Amino acid sequence: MRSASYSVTKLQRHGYVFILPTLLFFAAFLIYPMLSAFHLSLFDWNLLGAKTYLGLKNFATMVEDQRVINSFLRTLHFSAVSVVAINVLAFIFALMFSSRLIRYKNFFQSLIFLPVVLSIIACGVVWEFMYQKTGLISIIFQKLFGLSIPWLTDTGIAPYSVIIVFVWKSVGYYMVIYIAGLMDVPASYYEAARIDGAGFWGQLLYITLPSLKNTIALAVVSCVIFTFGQFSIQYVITSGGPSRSTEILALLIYREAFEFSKFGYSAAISVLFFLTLLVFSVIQLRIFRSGSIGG
Amino acid sequence: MVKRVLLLGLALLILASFAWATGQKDGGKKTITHYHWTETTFDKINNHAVEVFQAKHPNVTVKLLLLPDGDRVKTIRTALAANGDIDSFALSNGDSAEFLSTGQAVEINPKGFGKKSVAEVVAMWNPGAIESSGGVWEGKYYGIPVELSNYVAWVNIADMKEAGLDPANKPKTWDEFHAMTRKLVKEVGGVRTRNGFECNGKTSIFSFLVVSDMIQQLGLDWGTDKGFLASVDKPDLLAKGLKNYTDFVTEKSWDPGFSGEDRQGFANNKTATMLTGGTWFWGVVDTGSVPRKDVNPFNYPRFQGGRDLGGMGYGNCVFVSRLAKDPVLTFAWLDTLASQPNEFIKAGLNQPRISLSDGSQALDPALGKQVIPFYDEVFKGELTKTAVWLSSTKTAQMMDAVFGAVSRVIYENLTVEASVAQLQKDIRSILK
Repeated sequence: MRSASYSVTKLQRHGYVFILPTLLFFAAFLIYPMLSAFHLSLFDWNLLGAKTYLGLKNFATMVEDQRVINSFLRTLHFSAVSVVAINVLAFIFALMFSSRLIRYKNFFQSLIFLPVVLSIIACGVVWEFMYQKTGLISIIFQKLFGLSIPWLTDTGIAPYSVIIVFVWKSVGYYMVIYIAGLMDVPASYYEAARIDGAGFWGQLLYITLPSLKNTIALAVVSCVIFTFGQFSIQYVITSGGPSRSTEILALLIYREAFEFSKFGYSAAISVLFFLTLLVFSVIQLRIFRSGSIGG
Repeated sequence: MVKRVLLLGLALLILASFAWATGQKDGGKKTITHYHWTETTFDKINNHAVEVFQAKHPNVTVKLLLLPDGDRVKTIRTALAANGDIDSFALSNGDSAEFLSTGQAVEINPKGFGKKSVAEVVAMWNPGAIESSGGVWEGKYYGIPVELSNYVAWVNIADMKEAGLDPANKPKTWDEFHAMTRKLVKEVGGVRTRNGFECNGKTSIFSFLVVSDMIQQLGLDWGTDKGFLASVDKPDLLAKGLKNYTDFVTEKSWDPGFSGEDRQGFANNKTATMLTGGTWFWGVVDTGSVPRKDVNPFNYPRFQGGRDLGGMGYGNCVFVSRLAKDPVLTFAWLDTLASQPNEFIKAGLNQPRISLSDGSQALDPALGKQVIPFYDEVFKGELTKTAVWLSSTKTAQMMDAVFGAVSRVIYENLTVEASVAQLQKDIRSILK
């Protein structure tokens, strides 16, 4: 009979060997590019000529650049409205599907989840067509309400047109998270509440919401992080227009680099982007570690 | 022990695969990697050039990389920045300045054409063609033209007849053109079914090219950085040019939310007029529902008392990259690539080549008239009076600034004067 030959140290060493490919991958495609971007943000470079060292000049320019400020505010607006809409809708759908009153739950859940798995580019192209004056949505609004809405050509409406598409695309994913959270709430709590005379709103406010505190917190924070980094929907549907009203930060970073060839400045904006997301990530990490909200 | 051997074997296999993949050579042959834009009709002709060149040089393989037009410049830029495998590439006159100013292309080597001097090479093209298509930088010749075209105005004459207008009486001034486009708007039950005019309102380039043409007709120089900077001291003329463009929206000939695309829109009668098409646009018309017989190109309108300039002139050149493994051989390849102007003119693409390297005639001057409707009446004459596309290392930023000026008026309802004031600041900031 062989004696056990594995010490803990040996096991750990072998473990590192197994995670080495992934570590190398992350180092090559995540860590190195990130550090390169920090380094590049100190230069002026168009990829073709020599790099010119600027120090912190890119950051000084960025602080006064109305376009960057506009993009940052547009991104905050997009994230705030989308996160609220996604989470409220997802929660409502989750509540509906946890009720016994709804029939054919699987079908409706699949219908709501379907946009999540569709290609975001294809969705953007189709929605863009639907928003045009001769598109499906415009025709419906005209026929039903007699309204001719400039979905993509009004600076006040276009941001919400894009938000509608993004919410439609994402709500299914968070609905699943909330459904999973609701399934974790013991049924006995509701039974006890019913015996004590609590109605729907009482159960919602005093049982469901407190029980889902962690789920809600994690869903909201991860939604914020994901939404903040959005790029595809705006790129495909509006290209940041009309008049920069949907030019979010990720799109501006792309534009500064790949259209204006200002890679150093683009890297500086991406550092701002990184720092903003870092704040949200730290919040999320704290929630994960503590495992609860409010101690 | 067994596990160690297996792990070692796996590592060796991965290394060997990597070495094999990166070390692949094409049986000892030389390779030329060329970056070009893709368009179905032109691809066939360019691929034929590859066959011809490879037949003449059996020890050379040409890899023709056909890229979507929107990605071409970015892909070429990153290939050069990474010192990648790029022997030659195609760029438009709007993009070439940045690449030439940073030494990404090599000067024309006459040996590649079997000639003794650059002047002999230049003489094979129409006078001024290499300059106009972006192949010259600071007096030196780098590019071989593969296209030289010009925008003309386009109108659907069936729509004109429907609106009670005489198709023989095309507008000559911008005021007349505006009046016509207002009449060509079609609405059914209060719902627009056709724009009188349309331009692509999503990307900056098309609005910029039309506005730039208007500004140059007013006597300002938007072809160089120096001229552009000087023009911001003439806000009245800037406002006049900008208003001439934005009036299409404010006077309701153009509803930007209607279809969003001018070229496909014109080909499918979603707009009755358009200002961003050259001879190649006949091919686009053929993909839509509007028959050729209903389509008339005509001279770009002018301002009363303005310069006699037609639509924007634009072209593409092919260049030998600074990374070319054999520059002389690569120029020989480009010579072959640019040796089929008669095939291209049948597809609507004008290549301004007079003679081939063997001395024979390149473009048959009679062919344009035979294959391109209105070639003599409109395109040929207007080609001699084109507006100049900005040659700058900051073209993209300037285009964006001008598009911003347009957007502020048509989407934010700002006055033209206020928008021009912001444009002045933007241009000074970019060109400081």
